Amino acid sequence: MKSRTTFYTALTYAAGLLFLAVFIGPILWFLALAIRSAETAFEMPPQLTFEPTLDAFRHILVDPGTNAPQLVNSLIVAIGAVLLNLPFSVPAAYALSRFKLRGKKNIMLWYLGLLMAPPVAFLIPYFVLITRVGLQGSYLSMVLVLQTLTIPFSVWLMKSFIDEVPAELEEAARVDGARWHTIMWRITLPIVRPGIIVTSMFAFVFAWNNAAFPLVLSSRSTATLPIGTLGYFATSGVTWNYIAAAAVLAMIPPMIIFLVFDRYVVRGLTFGSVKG
Amino acid sequence: MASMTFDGIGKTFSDGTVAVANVSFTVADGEFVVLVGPSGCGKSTLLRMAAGLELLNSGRLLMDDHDVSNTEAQDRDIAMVFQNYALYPHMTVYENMAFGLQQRKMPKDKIEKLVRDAAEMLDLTKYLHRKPGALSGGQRQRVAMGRAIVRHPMAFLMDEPLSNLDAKLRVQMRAELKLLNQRLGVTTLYVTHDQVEAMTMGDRVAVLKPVGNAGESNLQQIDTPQRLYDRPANIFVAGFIGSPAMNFVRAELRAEGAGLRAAIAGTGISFPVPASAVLSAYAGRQVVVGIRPEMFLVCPEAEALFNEPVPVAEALGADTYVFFDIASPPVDVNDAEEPEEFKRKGTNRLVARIPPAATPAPNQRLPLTVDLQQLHWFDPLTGTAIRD
Repeated sequence: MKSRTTFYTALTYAAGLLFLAVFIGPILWFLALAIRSAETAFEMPPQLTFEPTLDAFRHILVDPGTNAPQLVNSLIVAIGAVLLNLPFSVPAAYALSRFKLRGKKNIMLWYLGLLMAPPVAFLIPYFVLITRVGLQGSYLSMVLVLQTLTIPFSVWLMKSFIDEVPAELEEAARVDGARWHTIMWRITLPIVRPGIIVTSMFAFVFAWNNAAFPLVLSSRSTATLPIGTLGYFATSGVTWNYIAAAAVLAMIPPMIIFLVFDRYVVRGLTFGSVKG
Repeated sequence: MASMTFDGIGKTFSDGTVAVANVSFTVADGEFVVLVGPSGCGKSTLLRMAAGLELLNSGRLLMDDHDVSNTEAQDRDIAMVFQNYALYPHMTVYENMAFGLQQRKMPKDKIEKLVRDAAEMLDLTKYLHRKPGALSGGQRQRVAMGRAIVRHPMAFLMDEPLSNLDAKLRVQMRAELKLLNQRLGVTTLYVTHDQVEAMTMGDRVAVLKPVGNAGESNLQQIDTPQRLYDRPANIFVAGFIGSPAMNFVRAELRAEGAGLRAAIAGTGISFPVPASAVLSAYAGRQVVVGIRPEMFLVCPEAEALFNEPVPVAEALGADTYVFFDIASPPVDVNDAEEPEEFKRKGTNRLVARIPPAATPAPNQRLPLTVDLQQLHWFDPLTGTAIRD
C-alpha cells in the first residue's frame, strides 16, 4: 500500500518536472544565452557554468543601442492600442450584453472569426489601405490595424464580465431614478473594473507581441522590438546572444504587468462573487 | 404616499406566454397588500410592472388617479426591495442609500441627514462605511430596506425580501417590516410565495393563480387574511391559504327528509348536512367538501365519522398533525372536476390537527368526527364556494 503511494508521488513529481522542463526550460536557456559570451553559446557538450556578462544587453541598449528606441516604439504602439481599444470595445460589449439586438449572435461569431483568421492573410490589404491613406510607417497605422485583433478579443472578454453583473443591480438603479448613462458610469463600469484591467492587460500583450503588422507597416524609425529582434537574423550572421537579450527584454514588460495586476486576474476569473 | 390602482392589467411575453391577465384591484393609500401565489402565478411580473421595469400589454396602472402605465421606472417615484437585495457592491452602505437621493439632485447636507435618519431607524449607523460584502444577510436586508425608505417614495414594492434569510431571522424581520410599515404609513405592495408571510403581514392579501389564457384572471380573491381563511372564494384559495392545507373530499349530496345528507365518494361514510338554501340546490349532485385540519375532533369510537389507522403523526409540541388515508379519489385544486372522476378509485390523504395527548401509536386507528357546521362546500366544476 505504502510503496504504491510512494510510486504515485514519484510519478507526480516526474510529470511536474517534465512540465517545468518543457515550459520554463527554453526561457532559462534563452536567459543563459543572453548573459554568456557569444563564443560559448553553442559549445558541445553544452557548458553549464560560465562567466556571466552583460555585453549583449550593453550592445542592444547602449552601444550601438539599436533596440533602445525600438523598446520605446513598442511601448508607444502597445499603449496606444490599449487606449484606442477601450472606448470602442467596452461600449460594444455593454450593448451586446444588455440590449436586445438583432443578429447579436452573428456579430459575436463574426468577431470570433476575425480572431481566428491568420493575420498574415490580411497583411497585403492592410498595407495597401494604410499606404493609400498616407499613414505608412506611422505609429497610428500599427495602432489602428492592431485593433482588428484587440477589439474582437476585448469585446468577447468584456461581454463575459458584464454578463456577470446581475441585471437586478441596473434595475435597482433605474428604480432609484438613474438614466442609462448614469447606470453605466456609476454602477456597471465600476463593478467590472477588474474586467477592464484584465482586458487592457491582454490587449497590451497582444499588441506588444505582435510582429506581423509592424513588419509591413513600420518604418526604420518606428520599428518595434520584435522587428528589431528579427533584424539580427539578417545582418552580420546570426548573433544568438543579441537575439536572446532582445527577447529577454521583450519578455519583461508583460511579466511586470502580470505581476502587478495578478490580483485582478484572479478577481476577474472569480467574478461571480460580485453577487455575494 | 399614494394609492395604486391596477385596472384590467395584462402581460403576454414575446414567446406567447400569458403571465398576467385581467387583474384589477386597488391598494389604498398607506395600505399593506401582499400578493401571494405559487410560482408562475404572475405576482413578480405584476410587481415589476408596478415598478416600470416591465411594460403592460393591456390595462392601466394608476397612482393617485394619474395614469403611469407608460411612465419610465426612473420617473415613478417608487422604491423597490429586490429578492437578492441588489445592493451596489462597490459602494458603501452610505453610498448605497444616498444613490437614489443623488439622482434627484438633492443638496448634500439634506442627503446626509436623510441617510443618517434612516440608518438610525434601521440600526445601521455603525455600518455606514462598510461595503455590502462585509455585512451579514440580515444587515444587507436592512440596507436594502434603508435604500427604499430613505427616499420617502410614493410606494414600496417588495419582491420576496425575506426569502434569503434563515427561518429565525425571517420571523424577526417579518415583525420589523410590519412595524416599519405602520410607522411610516407607506403604501406597500409585497410579493411572497409563503402564505404564512402573507397572512401575518398583509392588511389585505391578494391570492393569484397561474393563467392558461388571456381570458382568465390571475386574481382569485383579495381580502383580509382572516376573511380569506374563513370565507375562501374558491377551492384554489381554500387550498392555498392555511397550513397544513385544507383537506378536500368528494361527496354526493342527497335529500333526506327536510335536510341533506352527504356521502363521501368511494367510502361508506355519510353525514347529515345542515340545511341551507344554496346547498339544497345541489341535492342529487356532486360537491367537494373542504375540511380544515382543526375541524377534526377526537371522539369516542361510536360517534366517529373516520376511524382509520394513522401511519404518520407529526408532534409539534402544542399540536399534533395526524395523517390518514381514506379510500376516496383525491381532488385536484387546479382543475375542474368532471363527474366521472368521482367514480375513480384512489386514496385521499387527509390531515387532522389534534391535541398532543390524543396522539395514537403508529398505525393505530384514531376515531375522528368533524364539526359539521364549519365545513366548506365547493362546486366541483367551477371550483367556486357554495355559500349563502
